[in-house]
Amino acid sequence: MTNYLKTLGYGFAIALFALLAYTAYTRFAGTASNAGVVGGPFTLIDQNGRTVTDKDFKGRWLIVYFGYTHCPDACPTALNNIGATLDQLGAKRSRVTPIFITIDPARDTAATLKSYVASFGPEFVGLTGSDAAITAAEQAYHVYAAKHPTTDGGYDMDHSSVLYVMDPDGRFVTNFADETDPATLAERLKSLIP
Amino acid sequence: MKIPLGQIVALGLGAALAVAIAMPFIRHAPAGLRLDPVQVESGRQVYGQYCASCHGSHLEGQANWERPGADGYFPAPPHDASGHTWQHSDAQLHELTAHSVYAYAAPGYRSRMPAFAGTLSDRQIDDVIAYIKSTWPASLQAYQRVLNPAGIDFKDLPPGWKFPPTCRFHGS
Repeated sequence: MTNYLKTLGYGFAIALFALLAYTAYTRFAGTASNAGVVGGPFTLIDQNGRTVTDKDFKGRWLIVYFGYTHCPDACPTALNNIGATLDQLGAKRSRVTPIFITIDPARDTAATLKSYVASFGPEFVGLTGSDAAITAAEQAYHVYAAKHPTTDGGYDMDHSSVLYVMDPDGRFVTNFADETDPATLAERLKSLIP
Repeated sequence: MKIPLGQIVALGLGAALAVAIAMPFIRHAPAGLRLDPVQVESGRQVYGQYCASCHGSHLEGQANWERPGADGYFPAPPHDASGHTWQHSDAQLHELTAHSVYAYAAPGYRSRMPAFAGTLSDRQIDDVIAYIKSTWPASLQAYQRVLNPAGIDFKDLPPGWKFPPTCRFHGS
C-alpha cells in the first residue's frame, strides 16, 4: 500500500512540475522572445536619396510607422503624435529615431518624403524603395496595404496603422495604436529606454 | 521486469490530482497573450447563457445597431468582425461588461445592457471576452492585443497575418 502511495506521489510531482514549467513558459517566454516575429532586415532609400539598411540604425531606438504622404487621415495624426512624443522625451530624445516607411512608393519619391517628414520634426527619416523592397518591409511588419480607387481616377490606400518600437539591436519591442496620446507614448518610451 | 497495473493506476491518479488542484490557478492566460482553450470553452457557455439573447448566437448583434431605435436606445452591437469590439482593450471590455459602456461611448449613447457585476464573476467575464476574441481572424486578434498594455505575443498567429487596415479613407 505504501508502495502505491509513493507512486501516486511521483505522478503528482511529475504532473505538477510539468504544469508549472508550462505556465512559466507561456507567461514569461511570451514577450521576451517576440523578437523575430515582427521586423527584420531591409534595404530602402531615405529622404535624401541614399540607400540605407536596418544596420544603419543599429544603436538607435526606432519608432516605425507605415503610411503614405497623400493620406488625409491616420498618417498625419500618427506622425504628429510621434513628433509631440519626442518633445516630451527630454534627454532620451537624442536616442530615438522616428522612421516613416511609405506604402505608396509610386508617388512617394525621396524628394516627396523629404519635405513631408521634415514638417513633423527634424529627426524624422522617410523611407521609400522599389515595389519589391516595400512589399518585403510590409510583410516583415505585418502591414496590410491596398490601393482603393477614387472617383477622380486617382487612388487612396487602405492600410494598417500601428506604431512599432524597435530596440538598438533592431529587435521588436512593442506596438502602439496610432491614436495613443503622446503623454502615454512618452511615458512608455521613457520606461523602455534605459 | 513487470510493472503492476496498480502502480500505473497510482501514477495516473497522482498526475490527475495535480492537474485538478493546479488547473484553477493557472488556466488564466495574462491579458493580451494567447488564448486558453479551457477559458474559451467556459466563455462560450457563459456567452450562450447571458449574452446571445441580445448579441446573437453567432455574435452578429441586432439589426441597425449603429443607430438608435424609436425609443432612443441603441440595439446590441455585434461582437464579430463586423463590429468594433476588437478596437477595445481587455480592460475596457471587462469594465463595460461589469459596469457600463458609458465611460467609452459617445455622449448621448443610450444602452439597455445590464451591468453584469454580481451576476457574473470577474473570471466569467474574462472567459466571455476570451471566447469572443477566439472567433476573430488573426488580423483583428493582433490589433486587439496591441491595445493591451500587459504585453504582446504574436507567436501563435498563423504565418502571413497582417494588422487590419484601420486607415481606410474612402473620399472621392
